[in-house]
Amino acid sequence: MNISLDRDTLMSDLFSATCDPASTDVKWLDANLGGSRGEYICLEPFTPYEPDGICFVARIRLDPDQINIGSNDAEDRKKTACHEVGHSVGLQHGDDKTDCMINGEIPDTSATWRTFNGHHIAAHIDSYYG
Amino acid sequence: MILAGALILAACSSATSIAEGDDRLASFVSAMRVVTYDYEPTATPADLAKASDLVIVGEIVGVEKGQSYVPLPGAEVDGDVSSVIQVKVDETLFGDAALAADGIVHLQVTHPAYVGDGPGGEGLVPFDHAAFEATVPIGTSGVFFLEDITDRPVYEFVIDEGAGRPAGAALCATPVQGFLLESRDGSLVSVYEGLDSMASAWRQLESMDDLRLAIVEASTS
Repeated sequence: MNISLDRDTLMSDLFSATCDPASTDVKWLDANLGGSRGEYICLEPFTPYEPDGICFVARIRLDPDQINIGSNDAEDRKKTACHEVGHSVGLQHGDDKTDCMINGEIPDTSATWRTFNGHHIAAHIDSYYG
Repeated sequence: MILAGALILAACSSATSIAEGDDRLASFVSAMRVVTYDYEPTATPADLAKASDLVIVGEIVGVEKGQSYVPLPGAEVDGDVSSVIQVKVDETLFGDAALAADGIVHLQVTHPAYVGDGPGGEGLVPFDHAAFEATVPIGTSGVFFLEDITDRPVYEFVIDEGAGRPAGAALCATPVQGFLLESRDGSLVSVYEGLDSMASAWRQLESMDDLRLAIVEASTS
């Protein structure tokens, strides 16, 4: 999964066998989400819970059956993964519609739909983790 | 500087038109939006109705503790806490009315096991069924787009199978756009995601009557 967190932001992502109190830990699971492609929930927020706050422990569930409806399935899976990780670093569904925080099927296979936009990076991700 | 801040907020937030003083509905919506989804948006209420098993106008009359789910046998219940909201059917707008048992639809909702940071920021607050129940706006009416999920559990492994509903009753869920409640002032509130984030046919809805008419016209055309 290339969501460009390392390249484009001040964050880093890694697979760790232990929980790091200074990082956001994300648990990934497959599930039947009853019509949704992905689901994000913050189990332990860093601060008093805010929808656009960052998260200490998050759970992300993906429903491959839903994601694979339509075309461009491989890119769709990356887009939904990027989308849900975006929630874990404080992003919400946006109006720009030029990034992975759009809902639903991607319009084409452009990498645009598998990355965060400049506003996400500058105003949210780097402001928290920088 | 203040203007810049306001513009950033406008671009990043999802407004909710809940009437002032409608605190319980506000608490409920806030709790439900702790969980967010990537979903396939529909362009119109009619499109969503056609993809649903049942669409009703109803009133929330109760809530029970529901099934819990684990990904593997013996795994901890980790945020998969469900409750079952009981909705009294006032009018069937579309679909299979047999999903209701004695005039009641049983709507499963997932809510987090923990929320917030506690009073004074001292730690997480367990968000169990009792805490959730205190937020559910009993007596509030709404429009519910329902899917029958009785045989489609979140995971294969279910704890307390059948909890929260009478034996034999169907278990339903709503898609992200399909759970809409009426605030005290008559405005329409989408529980999971603000109407302002949706396509124009959704954004133009000002009341439950608007939504009801949109569905009835679609089902009769």
